[in-house]
Amino acid sequence: MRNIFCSLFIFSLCSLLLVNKSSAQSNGDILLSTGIQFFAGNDEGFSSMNYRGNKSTSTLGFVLTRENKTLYFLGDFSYGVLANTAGATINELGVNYSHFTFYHRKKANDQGLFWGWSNKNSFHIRRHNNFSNYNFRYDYFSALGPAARYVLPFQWKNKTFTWRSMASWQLIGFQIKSGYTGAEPENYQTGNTLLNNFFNTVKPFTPLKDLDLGLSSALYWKLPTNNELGLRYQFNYGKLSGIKNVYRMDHSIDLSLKVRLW
Amino acid sequence: MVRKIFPYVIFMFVISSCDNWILPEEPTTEPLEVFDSLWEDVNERYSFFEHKDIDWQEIRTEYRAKVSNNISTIGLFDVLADMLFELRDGHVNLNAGFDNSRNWEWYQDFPDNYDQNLIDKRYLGRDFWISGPLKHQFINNVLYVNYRSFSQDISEGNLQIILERARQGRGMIIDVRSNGGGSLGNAYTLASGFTDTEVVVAKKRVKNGPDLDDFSSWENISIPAGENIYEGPVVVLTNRRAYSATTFFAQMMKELPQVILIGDQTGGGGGIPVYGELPNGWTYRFSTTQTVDLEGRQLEDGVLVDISIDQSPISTLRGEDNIITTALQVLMGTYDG
Repeated sequence: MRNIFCSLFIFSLCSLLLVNKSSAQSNGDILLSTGIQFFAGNDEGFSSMNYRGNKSTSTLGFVLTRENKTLYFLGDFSYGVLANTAGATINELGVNYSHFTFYHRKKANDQGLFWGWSNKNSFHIRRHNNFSNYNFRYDYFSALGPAARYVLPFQWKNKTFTWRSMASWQLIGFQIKSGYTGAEPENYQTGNTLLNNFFNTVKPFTPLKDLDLGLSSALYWKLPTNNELGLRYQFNYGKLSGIKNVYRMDHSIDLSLKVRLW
Repeated sequence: MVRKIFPYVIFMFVISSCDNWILPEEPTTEPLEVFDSLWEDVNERYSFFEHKDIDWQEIRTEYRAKVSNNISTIGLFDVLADMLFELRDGHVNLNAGFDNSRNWEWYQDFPDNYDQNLIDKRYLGRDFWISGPLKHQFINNVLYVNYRSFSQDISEGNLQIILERARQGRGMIIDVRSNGGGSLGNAYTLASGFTDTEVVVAKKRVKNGPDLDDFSSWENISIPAGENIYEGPVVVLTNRRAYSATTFFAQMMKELPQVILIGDQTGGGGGIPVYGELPNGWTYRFSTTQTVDLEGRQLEDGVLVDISIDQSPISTLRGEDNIITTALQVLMGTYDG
């Protein structure tokens, strides 16, 4: 574990040095946001019942704007208790890491529609509070797909606002998720090595059959310090198919702060 | 600018209220739909249809005919409970809040073979030790350990105390009669006190698909290697009310060379239960795994003992548990069969 942290630290240091080297032609911003998420989901491995509830959510991100492209690195975390119509509850925790690249070779990077691609890594775990056995299930996927970004700056009462929207559609990748019964994925063998189990249990994230659609829209007010304060709405819909399908949909409203680093 | 944003806001409003038609439709609380939900889940995930020769399709025909959408709540509960009763499985229950259905025939038709008052008065007495959930007392230089429920956690410290005490005597009796089970983790902990190497004791497989023969491959169940183990002779006492985790414990101990099982066979409970929920809020559980011993015998049918003996009413009347007497004779080397 210590080795992993050392490697991550060295990697982060190198990344920072590389970023600073190119700072003459780029901007770097930190994105912080926190808010509330309305979540609805269904894991057929538990039951045919839908579960809904509110989760708290937080995002930490880094936005790097270069001469011809804008890169987003976003990590978010959400946790909450969901309930079905009969009152049974599930504890749900989600962790996502997303990367977006938007190209703007000949356009100004602060206005208009930009196309690009995104990669999303999503991990969700849930525990059913009314079941004593097989009450824990999870899923993970990593997928790539097209993304679009729309930026509209405008003035209102001598203040500068920017409306930024992003949409992504994850098309292809891989997934690992709990199998027919309990937490273990299909073909998981207790005695196998981690690597063997990974290759035995991994399944493709197939276009259209599996789905992850994301949409976010935020209105930012530019502060005198060049930082931005905003209100962001996010929508996400996902489906992971298999012997037991998993569906989820969430809407989030959060308060967002974008801090200009350079 | 407003014209640009307005359609987008409308779009957002629409998707923010669309979860009802994006997520799968839930079954309704209509009695027939509740019946179908339960029947189908059991049909797809129950693990002993073949082993018990149960025709679940025929059972559906018989019981569905008793349900209509006008049936009362209690009426529906009774039909579903009766249907589940057909599975002849102590790990099958329907919980509606006002009642919990069960099939306890696995012990009800057999002798009790255990008398708690007798154990308290004659064998534990007044000065027995209590180490966590384990009550223990020396009887004729043999450590007698009484464990009432595998739901009560045994710590490594509790285990080491009984192992150390047993070393001071000539043997050990572990009485798990009428122990209805609990956590399998406690069975592993207790059994690990008697082996310093990992021992394979059984094999388990789990339902992994809706068809009758959709199972995972068999996986070994092993006792983990323990530390400061007790190597002396051990007798484990069981009866028909020893169920579930207790059956697993009996099987673990049976595979150890220094252990003898005495009493009546365990009640079974070799399938680990999975839980489910119905649209009306009722919950249920049923077995979704199979466990077999090293000869391929299902633990669902119970673990057989090495010396089969029932409690004698005459012995009980004179204040003696003849099963414990037999265990003492075995440990002292005076048992003549």
